[in-house]
Amino acid sequence: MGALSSNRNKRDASSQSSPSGSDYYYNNNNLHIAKKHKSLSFSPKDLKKVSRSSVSRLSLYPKNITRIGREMHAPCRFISGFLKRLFTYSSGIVRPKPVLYPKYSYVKETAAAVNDDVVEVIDVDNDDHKDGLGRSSVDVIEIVEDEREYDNVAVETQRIVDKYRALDRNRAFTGSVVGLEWRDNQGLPGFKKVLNEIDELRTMSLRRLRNLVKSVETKGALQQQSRPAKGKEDVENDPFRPLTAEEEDMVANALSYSNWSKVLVTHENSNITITGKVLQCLRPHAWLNDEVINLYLELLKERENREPKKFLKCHFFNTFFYKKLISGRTGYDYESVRRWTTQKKLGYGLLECDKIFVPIHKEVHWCLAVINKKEEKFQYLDSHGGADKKVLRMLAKYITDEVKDKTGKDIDVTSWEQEFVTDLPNQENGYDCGMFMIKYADFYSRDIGLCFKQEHMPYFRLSTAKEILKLRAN
Amino acid sequence: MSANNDEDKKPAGEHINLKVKSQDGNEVFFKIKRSTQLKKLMNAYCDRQSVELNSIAFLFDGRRLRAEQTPDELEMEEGDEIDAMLHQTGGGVGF
Repeated sequence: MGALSSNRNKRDASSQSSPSGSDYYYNNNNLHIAKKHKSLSFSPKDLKKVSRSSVSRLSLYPKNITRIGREMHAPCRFISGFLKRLFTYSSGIVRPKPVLYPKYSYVKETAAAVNDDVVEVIDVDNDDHKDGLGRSSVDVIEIVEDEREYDNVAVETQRIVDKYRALDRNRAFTGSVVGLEWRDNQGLPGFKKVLNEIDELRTMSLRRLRNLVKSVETKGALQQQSRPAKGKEDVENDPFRPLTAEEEDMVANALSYSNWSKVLVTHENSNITITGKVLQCLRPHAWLNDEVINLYLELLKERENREPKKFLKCHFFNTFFYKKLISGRTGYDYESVRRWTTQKKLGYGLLECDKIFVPIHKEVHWCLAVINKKEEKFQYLDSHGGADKKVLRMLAKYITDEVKDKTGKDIDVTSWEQEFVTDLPNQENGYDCGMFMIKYADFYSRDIGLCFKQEHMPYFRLSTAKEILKLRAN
Repeated sequence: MSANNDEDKKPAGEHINLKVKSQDGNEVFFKIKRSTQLKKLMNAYCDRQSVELNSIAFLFDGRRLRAEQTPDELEMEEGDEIDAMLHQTGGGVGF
């Protein structure tokens, strides 16, 4: 009896701490947003308390061990002001629960069964995301500025045109005067005075015109001088170029559920195939998966090959590299990745690169590490501001071994700075870290500052989807 | 005698032993014809591990494998290792 009741307590505790039944997941991220839609009577504080109790912790153990199909599944509430009109039934296909079961098919069934519960939540949140497609404010500002610029140009042109018109009128006038002059020469002295006046007027207007031409010329020269600066602006605006209507349609179509099982694109070089299902992760609020990230990084490399002058020479490791590097029997295992970077495989030497990007997958979070050879430092970028010293230590070890293996030389990287970048755009939710991560890589490979914010993420999701569908990064 | 030798050599040249290593270090060995599509190996591995084919990314020297590729095409050698990695996803830690 006692045992029974204590069991019940245990069950209660676990169901409180994790209404979805995946204690492991929940307690590891005990405040994850996906839990919002469950048992509203518990504040996060209560939940935390419960999850610390030994009873609930006991309940963790059996589930912890289970192996899963995907490492961790996103809550994927495909809420969509974005594309809402197209997919009003969007809540129908949702992977609402982190999956911790070995049998994927079983999970699929249960997930389908649970979907009904989630529907309301999705409706509730719909309002929040009406601006899903919203352009970034920077874009708007940019457009306004451009218009202003155009306005200025237009005003200037108009002024010049007016001047010329005035001049033409004068010319017509003086033309007639020539006639007068001719008559004057024929001995009509009464016109001489008028002629003189007109001459004066003419020289005056000519002088004015000359000045005007001069000023226009100098202005033109100035503009030309400032053009390189404008070019720089372009570089900074490049990442924010809005999608055309067709591109938007293309993305909307690709993200529709009718394409769920269809292969949308195949990237020959990397053998990555993107199906509708995989691309769904670029919908607002969904978690990014390895395939989209890896393909995007491939595209960044191709972009650099296309325009080597515009971008830094970079190497982008895929998301499995770090996992492989640290998964040896004793942890660090250079041998398992030794063959990844041969000249033959890459087509270039890894060690020639200015920056080497290493995506870091941490259970349910994406971060980025950079081996910055150019500035001789290791960098770690976490959109949540985390710092993992082990990652940089492992990469320091790796680059030493790599140099030794590929060139036979010993290098000493102990003097290299280990920087945990804190001055970076921060993630303000529980689903955009993947997007932040690939954008850190994007901007760093352009060698420009991380001049974006959380509010750009909806746009970046769209533009990334577009770039993937076109197999071409901008 | 020489004919016998030829027969011995031929199967050895046609087949290749490959190792599939999961990310937790477990290894499964496969013998496969050099001209056989790796699809067969992938399916066999997934059956054995009771996982869905599309939940695993197979890598050879860091590069994704396509099911239609063959060991010959990839210039695989005896004893080469294929990595079977679980797909990853992530959105951010609780905050």
